[in-house]
Amino acid sequence: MTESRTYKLAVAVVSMAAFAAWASPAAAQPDRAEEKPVTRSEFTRFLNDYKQLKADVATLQEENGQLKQQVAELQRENTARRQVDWGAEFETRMSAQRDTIMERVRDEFGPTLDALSPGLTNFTLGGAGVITFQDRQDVDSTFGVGIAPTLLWRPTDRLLLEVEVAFGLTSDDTFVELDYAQVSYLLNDYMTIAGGKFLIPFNTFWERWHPSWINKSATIPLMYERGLIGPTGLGVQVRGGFPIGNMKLNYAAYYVNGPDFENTSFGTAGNLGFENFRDNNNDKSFGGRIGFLPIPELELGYSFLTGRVGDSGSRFDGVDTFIHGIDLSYAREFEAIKGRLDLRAEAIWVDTDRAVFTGPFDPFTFDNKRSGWFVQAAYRPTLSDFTLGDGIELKNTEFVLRFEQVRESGPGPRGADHSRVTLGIDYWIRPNIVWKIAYSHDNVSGDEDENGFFMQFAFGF
Amino acid sequence: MKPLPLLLTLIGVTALTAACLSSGCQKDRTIAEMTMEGAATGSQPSASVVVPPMRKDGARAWAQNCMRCHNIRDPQERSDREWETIVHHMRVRANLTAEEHRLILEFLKAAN
Ligand code: HEC
Repeated sequence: MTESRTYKLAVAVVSMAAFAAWASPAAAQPDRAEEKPVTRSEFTRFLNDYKQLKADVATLQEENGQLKQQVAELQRENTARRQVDWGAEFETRMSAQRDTIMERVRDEFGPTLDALSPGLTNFTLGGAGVITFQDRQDVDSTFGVGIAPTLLWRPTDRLLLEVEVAFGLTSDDTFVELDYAQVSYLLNDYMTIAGGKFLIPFNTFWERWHPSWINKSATIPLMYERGLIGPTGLGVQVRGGFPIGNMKLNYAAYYVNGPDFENTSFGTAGNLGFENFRDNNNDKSFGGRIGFLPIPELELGYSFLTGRVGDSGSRFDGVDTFIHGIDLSYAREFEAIKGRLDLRAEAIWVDTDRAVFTGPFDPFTFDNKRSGWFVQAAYRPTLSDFTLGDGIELKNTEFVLRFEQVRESGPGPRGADHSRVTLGIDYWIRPNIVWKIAYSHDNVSGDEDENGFFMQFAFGF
Repeated sequence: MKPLPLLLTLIGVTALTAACLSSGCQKDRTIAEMTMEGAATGSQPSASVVVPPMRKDGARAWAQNCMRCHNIRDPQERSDREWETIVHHMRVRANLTAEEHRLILEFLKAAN
């Protein structure tokens, strides 16, 4: 071995040893402090620090939890508040829009609306409508319909105009009729004057309860069906009412064209007509009624109508008539019978002068008297709670019974007595809307009976 | 059957019965009273309306007069303007006095 080879080997051994020493962990950057042992006090201090830190972390964790909870609550509140705010926001925007629209409506229609404001044109609708079905013995059964709107106009506190026009169907035609047209003026606290074509204050039926939403029966009383007196008069009237202590009196007096006299047909000669077109003579008819209410539930009335009926210049020129009547109405609710009782009764006597008519063969004459009466009782169990099935209430049901008779003089079958009993049941859908069914049993002396079945759906405005 | 005696008897009997009943022969109340109470408490029978005490006279006048000829109509059916015309109409038809007219109208306007 040469000297240089030995030297090289020595350098390599030393380098390897140096590398090993550098690479070994024990040899890496030796810290002089670590090499010193930890003292007891140092260790205790470290331990205390460590415990303190642990406690701090626990507190922080707790606080963190609380904060998280608070944030969640706030978020919830916020969401809720946002919803409420949306509602308010919506309202505000809507009302702003409404205001704009209203402003535009006012601009556009204001002048028209002003023209319609109170005082000038105070129109109100009244009146009635009816759909009927009837099946009378010996007559083909039939449906029927009629409507009679009433227009009320009150231009001032004292003036009232009422007009009723009826539309309906007869057996082969449509009819339009001016039922009535009256202007009235409140003269003072106890008196009203009126003029025009008005419902005649004779007894109570025509004036007070003929509209089909008021009449509890599906038929009208026989004496009115037979025309003993008609519904209207054309002329003027004065009427009113006043108290006498706890009682009341009411009155009506009228001066009208009055009835005319039928003298052309054998079947109806001597009957009175109440169509109220032009008068047929210069004598007007005069009539009136006095009503007395001893208690609010009861009214007793006396009525009369008298006048010339014959055509002037004809041979019936001097024929006069005198009609009078009495009426009673009583309505009251009784707990004992759990309902309301409604009683109405009327009678009429017509006495027309004797006349000689031209008959089909010979002239004929008769004592021209007609009379009629009815008594009607209705019972409605207004205090009953009984219901049938879904919504049919006994207290809306009304039972009506009417007895009546008409006696007429005249040639042949016209001298007959006609009596009738009618039984009806009503169902009131509202105070002014009603279904009615009725059966009437007739008895006509010396002639065919006229039993009938009736159904009606009636409403008042 | 003669109509006159029959009717006179009927009228007599009804008048007597009515006078007796209303003067307290029986404990039944009149329909007007009941309707008024019904009206005042907002309960049955006829119309459910709440009436302030000062409207009592109006309620009585309404209950006594407005059911005489037809079913009593619900005050809520019509507006104030319409009641003005209708009560005027009914004053003429039913021969009411100005006082009754005023009371009833006041009541209807408060109850509709
Ligand atoms: C004397 C009987 C009678 C009395 C009492 C009566 N009414 Fe009427 N009422 C009628 C008649 C009849 C009609 C139908 C009028 C018509 O169509 O010709 C009517 C119609 C009505 C109508 C429909 C609208 C109209 O004016 O035609 C109303 C609503 C009404 N009455 C409410 C009342 C009120 C409220 C009272 C109390 C003040 C009252 N009625 C008292 C007989 C009466």
